[in-house]
Amino acid sequence: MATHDDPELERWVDDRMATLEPEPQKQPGVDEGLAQLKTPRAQQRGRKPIGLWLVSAAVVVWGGAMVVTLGPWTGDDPDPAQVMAGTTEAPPPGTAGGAAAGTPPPTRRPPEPGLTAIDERPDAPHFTLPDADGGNAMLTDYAGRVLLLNFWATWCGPCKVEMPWFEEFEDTFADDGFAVLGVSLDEPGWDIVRPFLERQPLNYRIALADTPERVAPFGETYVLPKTWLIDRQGRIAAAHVGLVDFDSTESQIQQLLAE
Amino acid sequence: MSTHPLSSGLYLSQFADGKRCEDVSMVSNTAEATEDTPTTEAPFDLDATLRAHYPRITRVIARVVKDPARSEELAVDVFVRLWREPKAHGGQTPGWLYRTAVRHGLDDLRRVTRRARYEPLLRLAGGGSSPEEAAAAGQEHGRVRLTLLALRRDQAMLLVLRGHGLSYDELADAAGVTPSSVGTLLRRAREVFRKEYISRYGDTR
Repeated sequence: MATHDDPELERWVDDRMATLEPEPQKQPGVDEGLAQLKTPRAQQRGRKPIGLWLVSAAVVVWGGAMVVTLGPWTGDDPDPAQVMAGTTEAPPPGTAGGAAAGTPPPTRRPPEPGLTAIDERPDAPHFTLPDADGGNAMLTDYAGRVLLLNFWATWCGPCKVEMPWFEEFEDTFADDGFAVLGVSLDEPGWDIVRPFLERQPLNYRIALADTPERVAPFGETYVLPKTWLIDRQGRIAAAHVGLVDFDSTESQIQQLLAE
Repeated sequence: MSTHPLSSGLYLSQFADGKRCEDVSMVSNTAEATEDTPTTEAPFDLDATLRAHYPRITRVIARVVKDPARSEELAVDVFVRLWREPKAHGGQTPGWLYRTAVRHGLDDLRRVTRRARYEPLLRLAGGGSSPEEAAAAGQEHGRVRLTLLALRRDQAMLLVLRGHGLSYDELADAAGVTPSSVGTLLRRAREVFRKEYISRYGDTR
């Protein structure tokens, strides 16, 4: 509209936006695009798998180094085989870490489950957990927002793989009414969680469920990581055990934000 | 490991056209996918839609991410999302495509920027130069991209699409607003962009 025109401002911004003009290139190939559309998705996305593999490989190498330096598996760190499978079993009660059960890793993770139909979603349990800032994290804090509730522990390798992804979700979708809450299940409590957070600061809120009473509302937590997506009405829209799939989770968050 | 009873249903049923589901690897059971599918509407022709819009959508994304090959990958992703979003089928498809393309590009740019900052090893595996590296080298496009990331997504989207030559009506479709409000929104977006840019880099021209 003419009343809103500011030629100097417009020119100033347009000059800079013009630097984004793509360099002359061949016309994007429609046929190539169609071919990619019909290619398995994991093959389409060249970079993310590389990143995932590098991170996973680093975890495995680190795990191997621990075996070399500490001798046989001690149970304090994740079993690399389970890291590759995307899960870590919880330690026995009363310990800071746990021995892996040794189940063979699946060769391929199953497809990410989708969102549950709205009228079939169960209510998320109410909880009150101490958070890293000295307050209390409650389900009601997230009323009207989409919440990614992630259960993790410092000894869980796959949990650490997911953390940058959750930071990215928080960064990308926070303005749209989304939040991540990481619930640590470390039984030693803040004594072990705080040093971890100092080494690896996270941009999302962290709470602690370090006793059976605090864990109880969330049901089965024997295998980590475990992630719930809770819709704006406080209902569990998706639940996943093991390493989440970045793309599927991102898509599910977008769907929930659009509901 | 227990399988949660919530893992069923809607995800698969959103792929409305059974024969086309065979083309997408994420859907493994077309019979299950079509079981509860309403059949009253004309099938959405993804191939024709892609043929009509793919080059433009790819170029819009390339404005944001710079890398032509990456922009083609992301464009394909946008069309996969379109397929999964029945509400976007029909007359609103072009606006939805532009909006999703820019958001997808910005998200990828944010991802690349973050990873370049925290995971320098990934660059050795082919990640390419990041916007921060380009900005540090005095390259204007790097500065502009980083500034866009600091804006609200709707404001960044308006600037990118306006820079791509979209009319006010097309911008209104993409932003989901009335054409009469585009001028105001665009001016605010320009003001925020200039303020953010100058706070970071000064008035360089």
